[in-house]
Amino acid sequence: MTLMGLGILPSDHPLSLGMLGMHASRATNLAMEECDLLIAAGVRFDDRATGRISGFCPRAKVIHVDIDASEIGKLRPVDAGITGDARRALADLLPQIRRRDRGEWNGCIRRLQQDNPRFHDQDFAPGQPFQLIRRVAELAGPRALISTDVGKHQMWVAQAYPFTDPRQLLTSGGLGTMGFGLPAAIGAALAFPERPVICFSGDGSLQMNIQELATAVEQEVDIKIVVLNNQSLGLVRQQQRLFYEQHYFASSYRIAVDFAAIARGFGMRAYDLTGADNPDALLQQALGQPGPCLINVPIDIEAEVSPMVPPGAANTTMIGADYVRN
Amino acid sequence: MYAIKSNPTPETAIVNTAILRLTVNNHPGVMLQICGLFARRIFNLEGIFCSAIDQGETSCIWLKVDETEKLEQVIKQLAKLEDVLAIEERNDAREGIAAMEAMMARID
Repeated sequence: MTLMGLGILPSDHPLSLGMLGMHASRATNLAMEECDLLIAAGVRFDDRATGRISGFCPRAKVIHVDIDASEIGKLRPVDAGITGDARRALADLLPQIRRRDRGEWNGCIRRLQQDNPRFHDQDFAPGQPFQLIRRVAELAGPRALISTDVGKHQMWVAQAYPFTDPRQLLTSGGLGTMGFGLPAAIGAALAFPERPVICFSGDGSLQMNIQELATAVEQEVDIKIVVLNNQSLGLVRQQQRLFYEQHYFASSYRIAVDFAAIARGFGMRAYDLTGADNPDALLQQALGQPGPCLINVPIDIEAEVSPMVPPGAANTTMIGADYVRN
Repeated sequence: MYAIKSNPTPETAIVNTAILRLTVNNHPGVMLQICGLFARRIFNLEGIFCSAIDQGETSCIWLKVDETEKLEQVIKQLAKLEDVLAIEERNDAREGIAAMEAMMARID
């Protein structure tokens, strides 16, 4: 699945490969390397998904289905191109294929997944981003709609949130629009007032459209804004760390913005988990009441998104957490 | 439009260029949309001639496009523009276009 496709299969579905690309599950990128037939439906071979395109699924024949004719063969030559609605195209193709046992291939993927686990126990220690995201998911329930901004928090949500439904995740994908999350959450809450809406944001992204806190309060939308606050433009800083010899420039905030105070200034309920004796109790309290609410969560500035495919490299070149820590 | 190239000889110019004829809605901003598309996607545009037709309801735009490899992509992208009503590949009109270029060079 691409970032925009998360949710088309439940993340724990046995046939789900998870997300591919720059911050993929390792096993996913390695499995793509082995793939001999790629059916690409409604995707555009974006470089964040494919890495260096000449090294992407090098052994695969490609069937590309897209509603936009100009996408077919634009970046990756295709063996078969189908212009049309993905759902209808796949429904029409289905009767034409035979049921076949894919035991060997599925076993190969399972082995890749066992050898390259998506998560490690320490990822879920208290205060870790994955632990927070999973806990919010538990509290919000499977009906929740999720929006994100752009940055580390977005990638962590993509990696760890247990998505179960198509379009459950609202994220700006290729546009990379910081500031997308809050207005998208407001829109989702107005469209589905009976469903919980969670906006995961970062301290950088939230400041791009922070005036919309006024709209959220004005409309009394039931949204919960979870700010993963690492006091930096984390992904930019991570790139400077990995690829620019730790020459950090314009990627961290020298002042600690008090987002809870700002939210209260807009008339919004707000919580700050910084230094809380029982952060989980505060989180439960924040998510348990109706109406707009902001929760500021301190995150270690050194917590990185891994693995990472360096820009311009093939997807099989994945820098891991160990490299990041060195 | 963007590529820096030495002047091609007439023979290579013939081989490397394609002639497109577009029928477009005639209202302000359409030319900008088309040129903007070429600029954004870094397609080379060698020549453009435009004139209103059909009592001014639509315009005819002749494009001389320096993209043979990307021509299919150029046509597909142009086809997505709301104001582009029809696209024809008109390599048969090269002589007419060459005559028009020669005529424009003579206008003071």
